[in-house]
Amino acid sequence: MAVNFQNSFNARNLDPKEIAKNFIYSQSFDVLKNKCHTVILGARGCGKTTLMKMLTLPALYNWDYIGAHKFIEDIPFYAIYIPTDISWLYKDFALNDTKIDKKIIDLVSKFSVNTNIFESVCDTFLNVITHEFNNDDSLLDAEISLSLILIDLLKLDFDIAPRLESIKENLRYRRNIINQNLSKLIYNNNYDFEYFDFLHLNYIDVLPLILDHFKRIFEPKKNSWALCFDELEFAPIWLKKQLYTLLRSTDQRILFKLSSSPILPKEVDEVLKGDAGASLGNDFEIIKMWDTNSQSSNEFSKKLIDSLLKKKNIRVRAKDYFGSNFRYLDGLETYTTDSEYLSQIKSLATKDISFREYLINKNIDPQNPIPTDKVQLASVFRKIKPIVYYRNYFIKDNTSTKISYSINKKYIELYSGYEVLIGITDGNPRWLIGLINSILNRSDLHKADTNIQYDEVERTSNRFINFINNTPYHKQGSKISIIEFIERVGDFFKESLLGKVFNPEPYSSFTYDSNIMDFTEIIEKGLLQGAFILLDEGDENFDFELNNKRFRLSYMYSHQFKLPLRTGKEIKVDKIISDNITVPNLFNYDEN
Amino acid sequence: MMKINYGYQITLNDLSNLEIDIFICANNNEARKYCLFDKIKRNNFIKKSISLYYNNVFDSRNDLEYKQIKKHTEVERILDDEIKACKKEELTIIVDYSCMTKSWYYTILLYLSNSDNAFKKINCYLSYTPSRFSLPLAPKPNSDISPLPGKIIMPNNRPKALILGLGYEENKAQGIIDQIDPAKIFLLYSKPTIDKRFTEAIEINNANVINDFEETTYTYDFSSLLDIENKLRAIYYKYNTEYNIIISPIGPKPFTLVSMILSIIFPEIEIWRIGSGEDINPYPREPFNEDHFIICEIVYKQNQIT
Repeated sequence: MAVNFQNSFNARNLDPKEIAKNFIYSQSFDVLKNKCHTVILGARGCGKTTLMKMLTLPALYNWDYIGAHKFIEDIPFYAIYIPTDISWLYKDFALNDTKIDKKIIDLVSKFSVNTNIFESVCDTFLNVITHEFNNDDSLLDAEISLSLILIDLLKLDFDIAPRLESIKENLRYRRNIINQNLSKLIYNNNYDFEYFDFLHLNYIDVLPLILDHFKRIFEPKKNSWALCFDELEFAPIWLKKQLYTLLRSTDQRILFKLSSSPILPKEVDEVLKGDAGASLGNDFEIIKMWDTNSQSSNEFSKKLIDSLLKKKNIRVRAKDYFGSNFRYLDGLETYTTDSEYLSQIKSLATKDISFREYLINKNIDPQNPIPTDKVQLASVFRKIKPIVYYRNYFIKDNTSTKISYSINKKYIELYSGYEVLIGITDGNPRWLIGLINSILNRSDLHKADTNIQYDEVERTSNRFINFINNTPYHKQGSKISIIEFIERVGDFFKESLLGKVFNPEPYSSFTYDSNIMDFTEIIEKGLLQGAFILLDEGDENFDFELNNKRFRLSYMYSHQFKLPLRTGKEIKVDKIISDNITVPNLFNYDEN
Repeated sequence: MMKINYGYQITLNDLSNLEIDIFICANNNEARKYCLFDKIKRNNFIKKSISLYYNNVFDSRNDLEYKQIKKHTEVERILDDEIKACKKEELTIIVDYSCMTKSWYYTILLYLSNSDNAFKKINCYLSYTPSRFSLPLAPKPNSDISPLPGKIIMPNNRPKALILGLGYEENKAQGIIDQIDPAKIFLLYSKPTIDKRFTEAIEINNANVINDFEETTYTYDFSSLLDIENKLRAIYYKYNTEYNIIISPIGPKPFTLVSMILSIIFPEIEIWRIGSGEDINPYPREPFNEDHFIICEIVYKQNQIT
């Protein structure tokens, strides 16, 4: 049976209890629990939502982890989880696509965000009451006292039941009133918009009061609260600016935990670079969820794979279960005449004249390619290893004017094995869980066949590519689409690796300069979706500028472009995508 | 404000001897665009006939008034001008949406239910001319995945349930599911259809998602609006208290129309579009049969609750 990726692991749609069952502890989680403001940056599916939801009490109290109890005690705040999703962004667009007055749009947008925050606060109160107190009659009295205060502060009708669930229901009802009000406004030029009092509520003013009342009535164990805004990239720009400004706040009662895409918008950059801007280290901490350190990312992937094997009652070590791919075993290769690697060198030298010339130039005998010393071993043999394997695999003949390639339908040897499975999803748990579960569902308890591994790697890669291909993008004028951009880059890297001329340092990463060619929207969207991986070294920087940054394609594209899971030399992207831009399609407004 | 009071599926024979205040269709290069208009005008009196177009007028007829639409809000303006000029108690309007883009006919439906007017009753006939089968082309890149304009629903914290009306272009559905990221997914596709090759193409090109969501995949009779409505209502009633219901119709237009009507009856339902902007696959869309139409009569009345 095929694995349903959507249901297999998508933190957004999982109950916190479900998330806790699959949670793999990481250092990032430790940082997130600190009593300070925190910003988590990463692509979709990289685990930001998992970390945020794990801070909530239902998740913490269902976490089957040896240190869970201490963690709950140590965590200095109660987390108020505030989800955002892509619909926030598009609904903001939809509002702006009407003839409604800008002032009303702003008011409604703020009302919408505030209402969601108040609903989340009610949920968190219910969680604290459920998990942190013994259930007795006094709790009910306390909830009623609190609810009466909330009804007053949130300007709700006084005749509603003084219970937190009723308050949530009435907040939802209030949203419906505004929806109807807007519909009337859109289709009737003379309609007067009703400016209800509650439209002007602002969580920044109201929330401290509410939390103080909760503290007075319930006397909870913790004195701080963390507003956890998840997937902030989809939030309205005013909210982003406001939240990044609030990172300067030193009020220890309310902390901010913000998750967003790897590149923050320019408007936020202006806020942080302003005189009153919050500064990293002093005012807040940052967690980067992408592969800045492949070793830690690999460790996370290994733990995740182990946990998936355990759930299936597979007792074989992961490395033995999936088998190793020797092409990725760094430092373990031998250089004797009968070694696999040297036989690959010899094989390639017989059919690739360009490679043979390279060896001769390096004083290496193509028929007996033994390294003469350690320097040559490191500077030549190790460096060209993945290139040799890939060229030898794909090239059929490169001894005449035209290069020819082997026609293989499957590249099983290249895209199977434990090392490939660890690396190919770039540490993205959603895709990794989907991939591994797909393999496990088709395998027995002792071994995963490489054929099956390959099939599922191919299937998962295709699914990922289709996901990226469906990313909405407004292609304007002569600009190219995301698909075209990625294909140009991938094909260029493929040519650099497998082209006519052997290249000991093929290109496999690119740098970007918007002053030469503007692909900012493509790169921003690609980063958010995980198509591109930002290759910066320093953890201490915030990333607003794409300019002069270095990127690579996600390894999920390796199969499509016949590339190894390695990051190599960079090239400016404008050199890849020259001025040879495709002519746009003629307009056709037909629709099926 | 008017409310939808009831609706029926009717036949072409039911559209005779009517005094039609406004006939609206769309102009493009499809062969089926005036099939209904040419039939209707023989047996009915039409006061005003309007052909909407985007960039190019592909013909020139004396019996149609051509109006350019660059944005959906211009449809509202036209309706404002034309409908408010009708000083009577009952309005009869026919909309042939076969060649219209979704936002145009959604705007018409929304306008009729949300604008203040003096009519006691509006009879709105919505007609679709099915086309012959043509092979699906490779899907074009998406320029947007977003709610159809004209209706605003404030975002909330509830999870999303996506009802996807499958089309026959490959890989489109999977991409939309991944982009919208819903908590629940329902797939609906047409079976039977007027030409079984439509269903075959849908099943082949959506095999991956149909396999993944087998338990929540349903079929509907392409020609039965009631069947489509029943399937959608069943999902709505079961899940609307816990989820935000989003319908994303990428398949045939009668499914889209029923989704839109339900989104007016149940204000919490949202319709999302998946568009490739100006870069759209051109299909010839010959009429399947000169006499084959799928027609729906919707009656709007003042202050009536359905």
